[in-house]
Formats: sequence, structure tokens, C-alpha cells
Amino acid sequence: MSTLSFLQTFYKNFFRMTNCNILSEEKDSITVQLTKEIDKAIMHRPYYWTYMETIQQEGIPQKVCFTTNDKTANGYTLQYDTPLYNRTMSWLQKNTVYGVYYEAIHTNTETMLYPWLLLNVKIGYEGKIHTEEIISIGLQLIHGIIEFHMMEKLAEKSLQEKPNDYCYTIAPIISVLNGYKQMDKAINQYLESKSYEWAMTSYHEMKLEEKIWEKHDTNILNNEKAAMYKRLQPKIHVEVLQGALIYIRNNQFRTT
Amino acid sequence: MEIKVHKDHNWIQWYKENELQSTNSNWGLFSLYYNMLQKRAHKTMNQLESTHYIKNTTMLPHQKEVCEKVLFSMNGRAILADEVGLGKTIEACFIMKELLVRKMAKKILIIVPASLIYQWEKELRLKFFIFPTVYKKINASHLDDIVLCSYEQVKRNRKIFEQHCFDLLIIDEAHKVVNPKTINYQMVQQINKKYCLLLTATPMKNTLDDIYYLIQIVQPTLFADIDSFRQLYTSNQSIFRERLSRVLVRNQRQDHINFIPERNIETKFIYFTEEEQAVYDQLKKQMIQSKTPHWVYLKQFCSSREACYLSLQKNEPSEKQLLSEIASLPHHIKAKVLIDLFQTIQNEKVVIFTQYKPSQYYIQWYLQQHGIQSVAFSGDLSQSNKQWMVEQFKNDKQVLVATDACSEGINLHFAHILINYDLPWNPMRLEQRIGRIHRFGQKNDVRMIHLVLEHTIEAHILRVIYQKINVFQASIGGMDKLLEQTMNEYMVDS
Repeated sequence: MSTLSFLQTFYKNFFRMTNCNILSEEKDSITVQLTKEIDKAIMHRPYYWTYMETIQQEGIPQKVCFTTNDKTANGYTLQYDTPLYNRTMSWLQKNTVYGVYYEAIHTNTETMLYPWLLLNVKIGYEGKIHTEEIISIGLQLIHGIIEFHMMEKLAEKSLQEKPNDYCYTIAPIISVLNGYKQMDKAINQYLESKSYEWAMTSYHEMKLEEKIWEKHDTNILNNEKAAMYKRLQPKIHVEVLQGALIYIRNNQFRTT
Repeated sequence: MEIKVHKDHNWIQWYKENELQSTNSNWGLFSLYYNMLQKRAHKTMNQLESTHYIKNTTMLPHQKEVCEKVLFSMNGRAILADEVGLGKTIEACFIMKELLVRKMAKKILIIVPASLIYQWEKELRLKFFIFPTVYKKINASHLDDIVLCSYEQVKRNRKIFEQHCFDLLIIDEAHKVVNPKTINYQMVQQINKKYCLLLTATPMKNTLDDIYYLIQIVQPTLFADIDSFRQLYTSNQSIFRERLSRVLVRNQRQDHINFIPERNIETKFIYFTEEEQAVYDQLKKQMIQSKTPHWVYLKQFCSSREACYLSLQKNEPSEKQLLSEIASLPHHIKAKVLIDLFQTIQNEKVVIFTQYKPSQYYIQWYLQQHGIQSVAFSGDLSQSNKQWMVEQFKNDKQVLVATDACSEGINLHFAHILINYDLPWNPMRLEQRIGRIHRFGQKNDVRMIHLVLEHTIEAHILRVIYQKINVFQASIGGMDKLLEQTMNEYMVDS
């Protein structure tokens, strides 16, 4: 799937999952009746909503025709990194930061569901060029087993917000806080196992630059020297973007 | 080696505070967001990631090469000095997009000439989906992440811009900032930046030193000081050029665009009539002591009676005798030669450049007298008027008479004859002029005609231009034709 049609599918799913009615769908446009929540989140009209609140009115969410034809690129164009896209992503980030989910099992025998802590982590490798990696880690909160590629493994199952009948959850032995600490260690180990070529290249260039700077008057060009460090000093940035408590059947994963 | 690891523990903090509150999160949205994050993670070290996120533009091979070089080996600090028409703007936009996609830059400042602001804004928005803020008035307390503004705006708000720290600074038409004594230069040097791109087709405006001062903005450590810069140039040109190539990239049209047509350059020597020459000599003699350098008047006189008369009247009103002599001269020989030229040109579109407004009006009027329709184009026109003038020229009128204000950013590729009615001292201005017609979309070979009065200051200017071009070629490298090649040795030696 090309990167752009990926975005279109993304938006269609987004509107469907947030209960915004898709009224019509053409080749390069999609007309949607937004809900109040999504209108507030992505359409950026704070004055309207503040005004409605001051006069104690409900306010009417917009009906919008979003286009994927970007010849005119305006506020209604579906594209990466537009203000609209950025608002959508930050709403998603805020609303999916944490949740509790259960495996969907249709059964009439008693089934035990095991607790897992799931963390989706962004790791930025910042040298002369920045790269980024999203890793997904799961920790079983009974025995402390750790699994990588958790989201990909969960993709085989279907999850939902409520447990089905006859499904019982086992209470965690390891608390989320302790689990988080263990996973933090696992992330450290993961980082240590990575190749550091990118950092070495950057570091060597930085050392070379430092030598050259010795011959120059840094008083006048102090900012420039600081900027050099900003460009070349290798750094790693780790940030948990999403977490969830997940209840699933045991022994489901093939060992990796 | 030590790598700093920064861990953001906001999530667990959030969890401690909000654990028991019910969330309206659902698994669908949870995975939707995750999949988008995974999709957008930029994993490669040495490939352009931004190309996935741009739809209406494809990069030409030489542009791709420039972007990769600037990003992966020059650490995002460079002078983009491609010849006019090779797409420096596109290259800069691609580099900007790449830095944004990789989250290497967030706060960006783009400084361009006021007349190009809307062109830039449109290009960024439609082709690159970058949405810069164009301020009418700049407010001290807040600047948006991506700011597009003119030199004047930055100058007026120097204090504000100096307080900020920009991840990326882009300066278009950077030959405006080569003189360290000017406010423009000082203000640019004061701006804090991590990455920096300077765009100019003409990095050497007048002297070799211009390049040094441009480099001082991008990579101040490249040369120890100006003396060692000059010295390296005189002692070893190949090392000098190698050093320069670490900070300056330059593509030439002839290497990259095989369908770009030829440049044919002609110099037409003209001789003053006896009475004109007499007045010229007198002017030279009398003005040698004047406040304004005398060559200013001589240059104007070579362009038109009107240009010289008006400026003389303003600055030296006491020279009644001289003024009346100028006023009583018949039509300028150059204007007559111009009309003769039109006999051979027939109905082709022609762009005429002059440095002086009075000459501009005079040429327009004189052409009109001979049944040739023209439009005048100068810097004080508003943006929409400029567009209108270009349309007029394209559709109805045969000639566009322009002053140098026209020589940046305007696209006149539908014409292919250019006449330099008078010569500027600076060869880069000639390059800017011819760049209006010798660019993408030009289908015919381009003809540039210099009108030069022999035995006057104009012949001297021509010689100076030849010399400057030779220095340029020795330092930065090749340059497309601006003058007739065959005359080079003769001109430089004499």
C-alpha cells in the first residue's frame, strides 16, 4: 500500500471508530458528519465553541468534505504533517495513552485470562542524522515473561474493552509500577544490544570539529560552537507513548 | 564514547495520577495510532524519507544528489549555489521537509525578498505540505514554528529574532548578505541556528571576499581568517576549490539539463555622434571634481540624455550650461541603434534591461514612436500589477522594458531575446537578468545582446566584467556564458 492511500484508510477508520458518520465517499473526497468531540479536536475553531458555551448553546458539529486531491491544499486536505493531521495525531495520543483491554473469546466454558502490561515505546537515535524506532514490549504480570513485538503478536487476536462471559481475569502479582521498572531494564538491555555505528560516526566528527574550534575565537562564535554540539553530540531519546493493561489467554505466543 | 540517554517518564507519571479514572480509549483507536507511529518511524540512515510524503513533485537527479550531500555529508549547513533555473528552491524545500520528517528541525526561519514571499508560501504549501506563517505584524511574545518573512521584517524586528533559537535558517537570494558592514549581514549573523541553508545563484557578487563572508555564516571554521582564505586562493586553486566544495554545492545547467537551449551572446559596439562625444568629454572634464563620482553621470549619459539630465539637475543645479547642452542634443544614438535592431528581430518578443528609470520611460516612448508596443516593469509595482504586466507582455505587447528590480524571481521564458541597454558593474546582475528567460520551459536558443558605447566608460565596464568572471571561474568553477568568449583575452589584457 502506498504511503498516501495508507493515510486515506487511516482517516476512514478514524472516523468510523469515533462514530463520525461517513455520508458519502468519492474517488478523491470523503464527506463526514463530525461528532462534537471530534469537531473540537481536529477542526480548530476554538472561538466558535467558546462562544457557544458562553451563550449556553449546544453548538453544531460541522459536516466536512475532506479531500485527498491536494491541488489546492487547504484546511480540509488529508495529508501528512498538515495542521489537521497534527491535531488528529495529538488527539489520538491523548486518548490512547492508557486503556484496559480483554481478549474476545466466545465460549461457554470457564476461561482464564492472564494480565499483561503493554508498552509502545518510541526510541529516537539522534546523531548527525536522526532515526527512530517504535518498539512494542509486553510483560506478563504473573511470571514476569517479557515479549517483544507485542502489538504484532496481538494482531492475531481480537481485543475489546469488556470481557466476554465465562472469561475470568487473574489478578496481577507484579504491580504495574514494578512491571514498568522491569521493562525499563529490558529497554536498557535492548539499547545495549544495538549497533552503535551511527553514534561513533557522529562522535568522531564532533571530536574533529572540536579540534578545529580550538584554533578559533569562541567568544565571538559561542553560539556556533553550541550549535555544532547540538548537531553532532549523539543522544538517545526514549519515550513511552502508549500503555495498556491487557488480559489474554495463556501460552499463546510462539517463542521468538 | 558516552551517549546521553534521555528517558521520558511522563507515561508512568500519568498512570500514577489517572490509573483509576475510566478512559474512553478503545482498542481500535489504540492500534490505529500505533500503526501510524510504526508507519512513520524514519529508520534509514542515508536515504531520503521525505519523498514518501510529497506527491506533486519529483526530484531531478541533480537535486536529489544535492539534498543527500547536504543532509548526509555536510550536516545540513551549505550554500546552495546552483545556476539560475536549476531549482535551488526545490532543493531547499526538500531538505527542510526531510529535517521536519526526521524531527531534526521544528523551529524554522525562512528569509526571502519581499517580492518572493507568496511564491515561497505557495510552493511550500502545495508541493511540500509545509504551512509557514507569514506575519503582517510580528508580535514580541510569540513566534510560530515555521516563519516565512522578508529581509525588511527581520531588520525591523531584530531584537525578537535574536532571542530565538532556530533549528533551521534558510536565506534566499543570499547574495544580499555578503557585505559584513551592512545591517542585513549583521542581523543574519546574529541569528542562532542549528542548520543553515543559503541560496544564491551568484555567491560572488563583486569580489572573492563575498564568498568568504557567506561561508562565515554557514561554517565559520572552514577558514582561519580572511587572509588565509585569500592566500589559499592565490597559492593553490585546486585545494581552495576542494575546501570550498565542503560548504558550497553548485550545479551547472549544461551538466544537468540537456534540453536547456544555448546562450548566444553578442556585443554591439556603438559610437557616439560627434556632438554627443563632445558633450560626453565635457561632462567628464567638468564633473571630475563633483561630489558624486563622475562616472555615475557618464554611465547615465551613455544610457540616455534623460537619465543624465535629471540626476545632474538634481545634484548639480548650477551647471546650467552643461544642462542646456544635454537638453539640446538630438535623440540618443543608442535608441536609434535599438530601432535598427528591431528591423532584424521582426515580431519576436524582446526583454530590454536598463538601470535607469528615465531611460526606461524614454525607451518606451521612443519605441512607441516607431510603432512598437511595450510594457514597463519596475520594482515599485505591486505584486498583482507585476503579474498583470507579465500577462500583458505575454499576450499583447512585443517588448518588456525592465529595470533590475525585475531580475529576481520573475519568469519570462516565453521570450528569448534580451537586450542589455546599459551594463551593470556586476556580472552577477547580468546572470540574474538572463536567468529570467534562460530557464526551465525555454524552448528556443536564447540571444543576449549587449549595447556598448566604444570609447566611453561602458567599454571599461565591459572589461571589468570580464575580469570578475575570470576570478569567479577560478574560485567557484564554471559559469554559463555571459559575454562573448572570443573577446576574453583581448579584454583582460588591455
